[in-house]
Amino acid sequence: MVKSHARQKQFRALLVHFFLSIGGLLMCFPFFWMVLTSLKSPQEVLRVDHWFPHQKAFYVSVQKGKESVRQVEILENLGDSRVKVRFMDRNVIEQVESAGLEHRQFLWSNYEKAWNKVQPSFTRYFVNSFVIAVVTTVGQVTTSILAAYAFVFFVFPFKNLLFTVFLATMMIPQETLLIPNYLILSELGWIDTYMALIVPWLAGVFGIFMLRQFFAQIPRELFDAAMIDGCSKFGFLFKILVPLSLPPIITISIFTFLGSWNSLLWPLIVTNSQEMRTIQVGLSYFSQAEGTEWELLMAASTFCILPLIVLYIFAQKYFVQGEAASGLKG
Amino acid sequence: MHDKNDHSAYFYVLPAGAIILLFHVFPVIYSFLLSVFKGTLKHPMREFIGLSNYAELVGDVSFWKAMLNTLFFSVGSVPLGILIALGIAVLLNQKIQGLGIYRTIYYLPVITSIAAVSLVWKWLYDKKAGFFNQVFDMVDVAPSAWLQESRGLFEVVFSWVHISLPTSIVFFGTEFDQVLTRIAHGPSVALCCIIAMSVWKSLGYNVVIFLAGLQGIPNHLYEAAEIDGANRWQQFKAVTWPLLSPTTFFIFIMSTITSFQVFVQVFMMTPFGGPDGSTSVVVFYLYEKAFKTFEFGYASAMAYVLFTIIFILTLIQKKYVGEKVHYGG
Amino acid sequence: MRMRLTILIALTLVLLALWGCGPSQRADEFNKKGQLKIVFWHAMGGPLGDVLNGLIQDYNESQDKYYIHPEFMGRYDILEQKIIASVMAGRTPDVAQMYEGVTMLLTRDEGEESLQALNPWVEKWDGWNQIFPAFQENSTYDNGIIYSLPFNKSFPVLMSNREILKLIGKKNPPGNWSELASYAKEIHERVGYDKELRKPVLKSQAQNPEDIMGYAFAVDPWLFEVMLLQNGGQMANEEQSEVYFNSEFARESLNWFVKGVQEGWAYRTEGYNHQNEFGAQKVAFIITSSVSQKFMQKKLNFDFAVTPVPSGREREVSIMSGTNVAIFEGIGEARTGGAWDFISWLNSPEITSKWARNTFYVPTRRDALQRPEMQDYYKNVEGASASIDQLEIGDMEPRSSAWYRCRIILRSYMEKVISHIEKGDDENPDSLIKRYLDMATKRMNRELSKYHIKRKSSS
Repeated sequence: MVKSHARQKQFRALLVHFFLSIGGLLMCFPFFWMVLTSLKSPQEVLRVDHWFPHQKAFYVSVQKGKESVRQVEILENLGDSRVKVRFMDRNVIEQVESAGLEHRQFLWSNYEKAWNKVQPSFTRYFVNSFVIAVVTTVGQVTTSILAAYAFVFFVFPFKNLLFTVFLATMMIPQETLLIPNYLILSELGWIDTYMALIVPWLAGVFGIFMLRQFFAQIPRELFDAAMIDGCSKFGFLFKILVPLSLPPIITISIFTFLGSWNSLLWPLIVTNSQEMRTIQVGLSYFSQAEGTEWELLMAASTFCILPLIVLYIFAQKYFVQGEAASGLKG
Repeated sequence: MHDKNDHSAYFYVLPAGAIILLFHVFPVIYSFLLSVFKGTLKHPMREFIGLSNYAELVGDVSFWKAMLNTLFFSVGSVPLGILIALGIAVLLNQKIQGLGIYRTIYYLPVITSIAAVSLVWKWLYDKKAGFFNQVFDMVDVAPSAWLQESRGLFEVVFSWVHISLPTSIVFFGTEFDQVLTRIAHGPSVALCCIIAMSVWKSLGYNVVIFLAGLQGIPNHLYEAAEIDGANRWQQFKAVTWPLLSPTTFFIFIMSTITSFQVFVQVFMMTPFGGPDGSTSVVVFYLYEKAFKTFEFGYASAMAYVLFTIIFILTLIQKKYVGEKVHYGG
Repeated sequence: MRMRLTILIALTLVLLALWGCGPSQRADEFNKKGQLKIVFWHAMGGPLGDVLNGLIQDYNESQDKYYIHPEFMGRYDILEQKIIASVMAGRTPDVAQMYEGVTMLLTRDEGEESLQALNPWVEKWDGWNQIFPAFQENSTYDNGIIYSLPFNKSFPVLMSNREILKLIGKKNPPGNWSELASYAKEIHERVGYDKELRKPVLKSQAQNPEDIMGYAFAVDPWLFEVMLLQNGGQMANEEQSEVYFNSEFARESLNWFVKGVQEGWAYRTEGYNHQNEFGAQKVAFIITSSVSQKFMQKKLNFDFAVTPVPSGREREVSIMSGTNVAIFEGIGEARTGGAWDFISWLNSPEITSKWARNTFYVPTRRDALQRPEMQDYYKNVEGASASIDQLEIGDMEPRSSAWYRCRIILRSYMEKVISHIEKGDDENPDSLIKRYLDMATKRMNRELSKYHIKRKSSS
């Protein structure tokens, strides 16, 4: 009896693993396909018969000071170190020096190509995204800490009204704010500058709300004791409360950073010039340019996704914990 | 001592307050004002026109198509997402090894940039060399146009059983018949592609919430039910589902609200609104009206309608679910 | 307390300072050679972009006062969006390429025009009188205000596969629409594609030939409009507040395409695919912009002919495509001078001839045609005369600032009609055409009425 029960449990566990694994594969497969494509040549990308990058022959030559690498199909060895090849991009057959032939399987060069394919280059976009995300995060965390502190530890007129108003803004969808904010920023002359990308997001009720909840759980005695000891209200915040509140602060930071890094609609609207684009905006323009070179687009998608995956792997705990507990969207 | 009014509080609230009031509260009013005025490119508020933008919205077939598409998207992605997420969460809750790894994998799509994954999926759906058509080719099925296929889901399914729906329904004799036709044909295959991708992307998010909810159900309730002779399915119905319902409802409302605001996927995968405008959702149409043709008044009216809908949904959420927010692992 | 007061004052000052920085144009910039920077936004990519960049380089090196800094915006619709956004942000380029609809949008609000009226400059320029009347009209707006100079103009041309024509015993490409239809039909019936020989052959002489189509097209209002005018119809009324795309002339024109699809010799393609199909010899005829030849040149390794768009029933008329260049307001006198210098240089006989000869766009002025290299080009290059011959019969599309949207509406309804026909619907095509064109016209009129401006006329 006991044995069959154990066997049954084992079988069930296996079944669970099976389904979860299938699901897991489905979850990850698109990323896998993305990376595979990013390592292929333009000709290989369009071929439907092999999924994994094969060994490919390329003819490398230098024309007008620029290196040209073109995929070829080797047709015939003509001896005398010359080879008859078919250039696959123009479908022409030529004889070339066999010394110029190279074999590659994984085209890591696609990454460099994609990086520089946009103007000025993805470096600028990464810098923009990073600067904006960091400043926004620091700003939002700071303003949230200050505001939440006031709401919990101070008494002042209109406190509840103000908090209700703040809370109400959580119910306002971003879309309603787009046009008026665009016009306000136009008026201020901030369009196409870092100001427009950062300033409106230097405060957020999500953080205020979360910190308020947390601060409210701090025992009042701690505060009273500090006051009796002659600590200033600001000192208490800075020296005692903040160090105690690191978990929610980290959670808010991560979600704010994430939200800023991944946002598309707002930066799309408030920037015009290429220099001010963020990664997401740059990617969207890249994808809409004439002629879709999928291997380059997938390479770009890969390096756009990678930083957050790295962050996620290191800070997983905070992502999942914060989201599950708060149930509020970051 | 600390019960006296301390006006220095205002300094603490000022930074956040100023930003929020200027960029999050005032715009709500400004948005409404924009929608009831008409003006020039640089001065959008010249002439008061009352509710005529709203009246025009009512008569705008593209707007109704966008609303329909948004509704299709919502109805398509929310229940599906919830069911699958619940299923995964239940599986994960089975006290098996490797929970952490699975959770990581399922949550991965959630944190990746939606613009980038939209591109990846666009590539998967590519007509010529995309993965899905390659698979179709392997099993000898005709390739689909996926993101360029304007035929509706119902239309396609019916065609498999050799029933062909009328290609256009002429009812009013006006262009609104397009809306009727689209309702009859169902969401276009293109829109369904976007739905599939969206479900994939947000699955992990819901899984984690469900998992937390599941783990909050006391074990003794299951034991009691088992003693009463209930099998696993009956246990689910009697214990899990009812106790999970606040979580489920919460996810439902949240997902619905988010689904009404879908934009990035549509913009990246079908930058021109899809075949026959069948993937143009409300926010996409709004974006085009506001930032491609710069009709600020009209777009603001649309934004306000969207705002009203979402506001009501959020109120419902707040009222019935309350603020079940607590920090703690 | 003093601390708090100080903070408050500081904050207020900061806010005031921030508010003070309103939108403003950039300052003048000079390069090392002392040339003034003129920013030029355009959407010419690929080989066209190369030619343009070459011309810009020539300009920059030919004089020492100004240098043009070109910025490539990708596509026309993106360029247009960026232009309008830059106007709203108060920071515009100096010169930009744009369609008339955008010009209209930027100049329709009296007192808030974002483009400069070029009349003072044009009056002192001897080139204006040489500009073709169609282009003069295209750049002149209400009250005779000139807001632009022509830049890249083209006309629709018919490309015919001569080898296929030979197979059915025709020496010349079709000259009018009914000829085109009958040739296309015959070709579809009698000519096939031999995969092994890799060329078209008569079906009767081939084993297992693939089908060859007569005519391929991407759904686009341009040809529809040309036919409409040729048949004697009109696109819009004079004030451009109303369009006539549901008239009998319009229905007749759309019916030509519908019949082609129904009878099986014509078919619709996406994007630029019809050009690819033509290059692959899968279709005998296509009608495209004359400039497409520049993109297709390398891929056409068979004998082909380029002739003007087929003529119609009543009128000899065609419709120009392409954009103009305009100068923005508020950039200061020095840069305005530079911008004018550049765009008038583009419209000088030598340069417009060079531009035309290298891109298959048409030259913008009459005296350019007299130049020896232009005469040579006209006579000897296939496709040169096809577009140039249409210069004297060129008309233009309506210029309302709502026109871009109207075009999109028209195109989407045309697509619906073609889709129905492709699906083999039961409905009578005539009633189908009438229904959709009626709906399209109604919607277009609604758009136009929103942007119908009444400018104060000066008497």
